[in-house]
Amino acid sequence: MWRQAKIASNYVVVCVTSDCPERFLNMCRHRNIFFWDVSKKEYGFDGKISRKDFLQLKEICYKTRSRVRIRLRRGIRFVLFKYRKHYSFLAGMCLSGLMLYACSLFAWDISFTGNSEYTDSFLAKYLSTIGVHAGMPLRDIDCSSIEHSLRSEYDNITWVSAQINGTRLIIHIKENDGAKGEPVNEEDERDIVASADGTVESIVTRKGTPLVKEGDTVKKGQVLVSGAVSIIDDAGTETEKIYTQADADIMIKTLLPYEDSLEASHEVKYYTGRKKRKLMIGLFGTDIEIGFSLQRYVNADVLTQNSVLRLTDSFFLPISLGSKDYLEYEMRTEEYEPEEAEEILYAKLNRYLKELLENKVQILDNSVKIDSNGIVYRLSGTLTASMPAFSYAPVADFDPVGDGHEKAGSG
Amino acid sequence: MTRKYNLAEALDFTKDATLGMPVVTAIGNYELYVENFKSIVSYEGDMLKLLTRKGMLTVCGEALEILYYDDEEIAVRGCIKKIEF
Repeated sequence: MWRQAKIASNYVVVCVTSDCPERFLNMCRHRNIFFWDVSKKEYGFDGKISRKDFLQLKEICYKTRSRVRIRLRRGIRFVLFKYRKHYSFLAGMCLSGLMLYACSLFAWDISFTGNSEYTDSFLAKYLSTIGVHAGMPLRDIDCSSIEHSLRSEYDNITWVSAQINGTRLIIHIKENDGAKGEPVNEEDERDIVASADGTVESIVTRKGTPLVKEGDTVKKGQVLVSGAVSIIDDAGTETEKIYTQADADIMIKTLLPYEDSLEASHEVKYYTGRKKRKLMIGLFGTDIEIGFSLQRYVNADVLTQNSVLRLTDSFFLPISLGSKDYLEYEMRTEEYEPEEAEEILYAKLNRYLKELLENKVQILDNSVKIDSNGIVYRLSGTLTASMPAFSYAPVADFDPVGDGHEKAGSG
Repeated sequence: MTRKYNLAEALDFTKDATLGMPVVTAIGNYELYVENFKSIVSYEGDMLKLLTRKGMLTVCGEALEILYYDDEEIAVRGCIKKIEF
């Protein structure tokens, strides 16, 4: 371990002229003076020794009648000493120090973590619209306003934390990957109404008065479970009516119309195989392409690779290096074959069915057919589905005056 | 065998720690590490003699260099041909 520490510090390469190098080395060892990379020579030996140890060699040299001559000096201390009178060197050191300090006052990199739905470039573009971009002074960055803006702009972002680390602005994001649903106000009384025409397949009421039963046909907007609950005495007369939040699990068998179309003629991108690469240097947020090319591509995909130079993990510099690859392509118009069009349309249908299944919709029957007029392929029909097709609405005959305005349960 | 050696053997202690025996580690015939050496007796380009508690340890080879040394250990690099006690 000491060896690595010595190599990292300032050391000198010396040649020791001695009749008895073994004695010299043993004496050094007893005084905790250590050489490394020792190689035997005719006059004695060559070796490396730290500057601090070198200064303690005088007495040993006297006792062993040895001579130590410095061949090389290594280390920043010697470099500084060598150039101590070169004012341009000192000026350069000061200037580079100032430049580093100036660079540390700006944010040169904005990175995002935890985002999957919104890409980095998409979020960076939004941030630039609110005045946050790479190269802006760190003192102008208001993390809390960035957090607030992102949360209010994108509903699917549930949590944002902006953090300045060195010259980086790091934005941690959590997206809503749970079920999307309307927030329910727990205070409001409500009915459950059908959101589609169909037949009730099952109904389990937890709160409220069920107005339909299994097998009933319902229309869109019809109240399925009322939030009004009547209290009936032993004589069968209504003594009181209370209002509550209707709550139930209802499955309704309904028909879902499905339609999708695909134009037979479409444009396909064909790469010609011609490509060119240009090196790119980014300085203070501006990308400069190096080189000149006579080739001009009308249509080309551009693949950009860019890496920002950095001194440490958090100290990014305003310099980036990268390359741009231009891949030329041309657009050709082609016609879908019937089998190909059918495959594409059914693949889209299957994706749609999978999405429905994830939303607790069970497909009972599928009567979707494909037809074509030579220009457009159309996939249309109806899907018979069993689904929780209901929504909430304010209680229809809500009359809190004179009645109990409290929550109650009813089977 | 000495009494100390028998005691260390009976108590299952390591000999290098209890008796100060040299520990010689060779990496191929390229590097050699000797722990618990007392001093350098002789150093030439083709031979290195070390004094240990067990006696003289002679390393023969070609272009022998002392990689480093400290209180406990010395590392030798070169084309090692023979290690002799």
